[in-house]
Amino acid sequence: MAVRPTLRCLTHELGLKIPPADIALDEIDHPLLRKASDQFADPAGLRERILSIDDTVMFKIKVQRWRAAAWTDQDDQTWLVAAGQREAGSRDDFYQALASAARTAKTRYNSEHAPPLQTDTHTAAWLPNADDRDRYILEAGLRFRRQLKATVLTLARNSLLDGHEHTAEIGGATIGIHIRAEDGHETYVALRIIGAVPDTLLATVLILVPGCDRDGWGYELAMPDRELADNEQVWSNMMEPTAAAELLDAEHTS
Amino acid sequence: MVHLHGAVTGRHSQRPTRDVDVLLDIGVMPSSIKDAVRILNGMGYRIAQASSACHRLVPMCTLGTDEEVPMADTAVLKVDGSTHALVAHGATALHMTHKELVGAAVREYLANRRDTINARLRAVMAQIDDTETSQVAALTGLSPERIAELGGVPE
Repeated sequence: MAVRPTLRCLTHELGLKIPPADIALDEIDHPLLRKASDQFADPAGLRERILSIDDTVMFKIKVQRWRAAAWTDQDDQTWLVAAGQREAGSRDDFYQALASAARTAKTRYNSEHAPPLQTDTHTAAWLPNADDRDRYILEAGLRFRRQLKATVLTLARNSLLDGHEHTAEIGGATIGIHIRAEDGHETYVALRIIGAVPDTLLATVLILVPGCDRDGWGYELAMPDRELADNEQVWSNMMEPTAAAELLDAEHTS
Repeated sequence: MVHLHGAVTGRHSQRPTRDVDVLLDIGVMPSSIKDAVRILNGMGYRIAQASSACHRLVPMCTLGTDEEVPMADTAVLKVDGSTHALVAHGATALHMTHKELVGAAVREYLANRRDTINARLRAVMAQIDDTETSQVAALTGLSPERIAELGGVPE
């Protein structure tokens, strides 16, 4: 699993802007992240622990003049939680400075909380927080939305081609699309979803079907050629013929 | 079938359904199926074929004289006692089977509430526009402002 920087480390210490969500943080091109990912690719790989940090297990990442601290969460995702550049004439002052700051954080924590921490350091402020979790969710959500769109377009195109229902599994649900486009008649779309899907997912799927008026979707009690299956919901609409023609012609990849 | 085995060993319990399980040893008497069906028909039961190996016998007074209930096409629907009594009462009054009444009632109920179901979907759709940001917000629960703070979605 590639190493991700925390947003704090990325912006404050590596001096980089937060990239748009289609660039995963573990894909950012930086010597420290490349080195860290190489180092943590092998679970049994050689690593050097930062001994002066004792409340969590952090490892040293060194490349060129860059120094960093890596920490692995309970899901085995490794994060770059602190980074800096080695000062000229000093070997490891980055780690000494990190430990000193973590000791100060522990003193501050103990002055404000009870019971006091028994460790020498307190590194919670460096570890991934709600921003990092939300960024992870955002990247996954964007990937899922793009996969969803590609799936809906593929199913619609395949059904337009042969007039039969086509299905795919995505995100724990089964989506099926059946389009009837007979000469001289309107193009009828039936879309079904099996699974306990939230309303927002259903609405997004229906919005992604091209050429259909949002207000035209209607709840159905059966698919065109069969009864409902267990845990299945069916919606129908009319598709604009021009959209159907474009769907057949165009290469939709986004 | 559990009740049948219990009966063989002298244990009798109250059955939750009105169908009858019958176990026949056709190795002893090949014509036993035909004879058993004739006797059971005389008692008011009708055999409903589900497969070549398994049948369900149901009281004719409940299902009607022409109805067959394939086992693979039925599912258990749990209702409370008062609802069950209402189904039985309604089915008798309408000369329908329980199955017919429940099926027709559910279809009519849903058909009458299509507008409500459609309106609920449209209310959700109204929160989502055609941009990727809006759709990702709907899928993740993150607000568009929060998405922008976290790097945004390229449109």
